[in-house]
Amino acid sequence: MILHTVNKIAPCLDRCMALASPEDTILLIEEAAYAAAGNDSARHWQKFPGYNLCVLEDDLAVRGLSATMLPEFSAVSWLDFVALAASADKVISWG
Amino acid sequence: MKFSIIVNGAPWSSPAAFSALKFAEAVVESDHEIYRLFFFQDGVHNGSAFAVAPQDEVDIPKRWQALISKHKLDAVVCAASALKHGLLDAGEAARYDKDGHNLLPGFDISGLGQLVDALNQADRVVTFVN
Repeated sequence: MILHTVNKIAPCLDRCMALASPEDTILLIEEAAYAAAGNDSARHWQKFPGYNLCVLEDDLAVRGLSATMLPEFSAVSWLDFVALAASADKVISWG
Repeated sequence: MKFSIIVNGAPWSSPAAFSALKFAEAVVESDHEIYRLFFFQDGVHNGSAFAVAPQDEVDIPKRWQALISKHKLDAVVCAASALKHGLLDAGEAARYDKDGHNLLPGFDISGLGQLVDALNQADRVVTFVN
């Protein structure tokens, strides 16, 4: 499993999803947290059923997105982020 | 498990520096350890002693310094990036005949060999970019 961290929607997220495998974990951080909320984002993620999608809960909260997080996502803490990185074979940081 | 963390963003210019700081704090809080912090490109500004944080914002360089000191972390500032961005320790200031130096204690100026070593020796590498 590869952990992909993505910190911006354009162009990083499309580049990441073009190469990520369904067994990988996608972690949205910083500005990319916007892709974990809202109707436009929901349509985007319909193309990736079964992927393990995560978003950093602090980055959701500071942008006022916690209440509208999509059900496909899990909100993770910084300690969860460390654990995800440790459990992955490697980490790719998209930015 | 050993982590190397690469920081490419300057404090307050993008979320990268604060994200890297929060991640590093979480690593030392966990069962894992940090092999090296490597500050690269604009990220060298995290080691500036001359940055003055607004009173209502996190003083990111000071918080790095506290973390590095408390956990005796290896914190390397890329030499080429540091010189270009005006980050100097006493030795570099003397070498280039500059009037002052501004690298926070706890940070070391070194070369890209330390980045290669950090990539080779760590079990995981996490990069925080602008």
